[in-house]
Amino acid sequence: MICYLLLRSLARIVLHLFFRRIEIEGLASVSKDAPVLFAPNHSNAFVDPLVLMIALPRRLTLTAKNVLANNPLAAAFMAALGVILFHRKDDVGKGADPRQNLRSLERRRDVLDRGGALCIFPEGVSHSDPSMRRFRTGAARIALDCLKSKAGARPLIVPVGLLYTEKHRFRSNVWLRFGPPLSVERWQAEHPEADAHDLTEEIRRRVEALTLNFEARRESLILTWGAEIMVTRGQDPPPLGWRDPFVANWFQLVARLRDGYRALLDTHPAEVAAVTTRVRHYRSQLKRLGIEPAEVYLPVKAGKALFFVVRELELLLIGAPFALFGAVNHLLPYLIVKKFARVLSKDKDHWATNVIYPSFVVFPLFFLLQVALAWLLVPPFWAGLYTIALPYTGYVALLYFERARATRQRIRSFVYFLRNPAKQEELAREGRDIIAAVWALESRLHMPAKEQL
Amino acid sequence: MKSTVPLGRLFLKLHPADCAVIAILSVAVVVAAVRLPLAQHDLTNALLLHYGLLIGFLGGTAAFIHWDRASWVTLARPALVVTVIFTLYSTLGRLGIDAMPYLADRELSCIDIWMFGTDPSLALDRLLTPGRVELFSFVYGAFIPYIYVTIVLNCLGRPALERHAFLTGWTFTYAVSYLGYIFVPARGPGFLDAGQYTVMPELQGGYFYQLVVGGVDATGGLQGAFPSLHVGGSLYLCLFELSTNRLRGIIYLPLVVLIYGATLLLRYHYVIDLIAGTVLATSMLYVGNAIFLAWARARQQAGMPALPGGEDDLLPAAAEPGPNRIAPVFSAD
Repeated sequence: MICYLLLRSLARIVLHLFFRRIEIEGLASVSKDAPVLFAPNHSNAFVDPLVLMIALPRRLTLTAKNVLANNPLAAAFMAALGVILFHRKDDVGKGADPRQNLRSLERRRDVLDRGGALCIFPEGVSHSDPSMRRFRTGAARIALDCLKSKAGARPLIVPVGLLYTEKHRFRSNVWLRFGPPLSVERWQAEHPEADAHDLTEEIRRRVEALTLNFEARRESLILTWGAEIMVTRGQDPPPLGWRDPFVANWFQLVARLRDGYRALLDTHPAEVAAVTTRVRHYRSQLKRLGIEPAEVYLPVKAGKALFFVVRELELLLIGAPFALFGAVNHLLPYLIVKKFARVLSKDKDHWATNVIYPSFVVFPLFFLLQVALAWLLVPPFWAGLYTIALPYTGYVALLYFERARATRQRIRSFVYFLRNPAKQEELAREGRDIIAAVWALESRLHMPAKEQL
Repeated sequence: MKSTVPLGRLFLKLHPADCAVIAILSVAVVVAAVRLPLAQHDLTNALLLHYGLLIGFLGGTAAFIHWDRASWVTLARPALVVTVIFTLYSTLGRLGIDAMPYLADRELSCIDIWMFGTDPSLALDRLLTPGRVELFSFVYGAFIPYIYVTIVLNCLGRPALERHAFLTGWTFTYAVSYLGYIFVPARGPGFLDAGQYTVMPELQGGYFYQLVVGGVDATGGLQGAFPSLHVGGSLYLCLFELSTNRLRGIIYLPLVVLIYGATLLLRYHYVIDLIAGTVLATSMLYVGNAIFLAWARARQQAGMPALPGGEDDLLPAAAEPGPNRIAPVFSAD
């Protein structure tokens, strides 16, 4: 348990550094003591269980395929977390022995019988597909199995949606959604003839309602681009350093656009195609110019620009010594983790995993090494100061360079628009026209455009 | 019954920061008036000064109430509140010392000795070196540009809700501290223990030390020790920024930590002053926000715009955004 709590604390730090924002919805409906089986979608490899783990106020028992334990480091990590391994038929050639599943099944049932929380990814594999993959029946079987014995647990199945804004990007956002719990006992009473496949289908429906699923990658791209334009509302961009908008708002906007897009594609295909073409064209223009959609509406005014310069300059000048110290002192572990991620990541799906997991080891290791060296080489006062300064300046460096990048981007756009006011006017007009066209299209659905989601 | 409605609306047009300033000015006037015939020092000037400030501030507030929706109010209100609050910084410490029949230095020092078993100010004496005096003098002096820049940025360059919450919390921090200045008048260990120090910093200090001494003299000399507004003011700003503009908050965190050391090492405050300043700043971060939100919601319920100055009315839902917040909103508006 101590290992679990320690790792969860470490995971909490690492994830809150890796992601800019982790928003959680529906946690209040998750029971703290009843047996619960969590069924999330699976799109970000080993990051998914970590996100779930740090969000839950109770111990979560994870499950994983046994081949992952072939790596001794991963095996130690999983043992510390109490991960239950299962053997897949697909992995027979790689060391899996499906006969041992009986034991792992018992362990999983045991967790639920003790009123614990178990996590099973029904898709079985992490992926980057635009929609969820076919659900396997494992979770449903375990839940139904518990009901068979009279003394067995009466588990609740909690569907979970894990949504990432850009899972292959550092400092992106996460929206973790817990759906209403499904009482397996009640469900079975209502569906006496139903089997594990039907329960799996019920779980799939519930997880689908919590996630964003697209018919094709093309659809996902065009709707994301559309949302990027819509979210600007055709208004001045917020100054740097203001609170980020809610991640949930973003996903709800994309979902709303997707629903409208699908409905209108059948009834008004020509209009939808026209708006789609405009969005694509507009997006490619902005990308070519290196301008963010919100910056199209940047006010090119001397007073605001002066205030911007004073504000950013003060911050960047005062913060520079701390940030540089932090950057220099964390450069080596940073480069090692980066190299790891580059070498190990064959797809977008595993990039975050290959950054986060090595970070668990590399950064604390370097921290201990550097601090030990400091205590050996310099007087205690300076060593103590260095021990405090190391994590502090590392965090400053993280925020500082993020802000510096954003400042550079905004200055670049400002200078471009200062030189090309006509272009800004043209882009702003087109952006607002697209927004108006989308709302006009939505009104065709007989939905009031101003209705809140 | 009829008259209560407009009176209620009038009261709702009064910003919580205005209320705090009016309250502290009223206390100052009452104290000066009551103690005028009894005090050993002549309080006539103090009475006239604070009375004049009160009248002037009431006039400004009346203008803000009258032009509640005018955009200039968003700039003029913080400017007036900050000006009056900073004026009081150099007047109320003196008023407390002149008006009250006691000085609280001995008691504050006793609390310190009770906490540490020795007088921390005298114990720190041996740590004084010319370099440290200069370093901490620089830190002590850096407090001034830090608070001015931070106040300007938070009163101008932030979203409307944050600006109002900031102004409310910051004004309350100062207003409550000023009550300490008046009713717990103290001049600090530099005054109380003056004869007991083995090292006299004025003999060691260089340019920055002289700058600090000059600054302290310009604001009335050693007065207004309890609670420490160097600590309370800077900590409030830092905590507020940590929750709204994290990078700036975290960058200035070391300065705030060093200010704690500077106030002790330079003998301006007792440890209990620092504790009081810390408690005050931390509590006002929440109290200020809660008071502001309650006021804005009450305005909205009365059919008025939530914020004065014709600003965005979008108030957060009653339950703050967080893990269990209600579904977010995105509309065509």
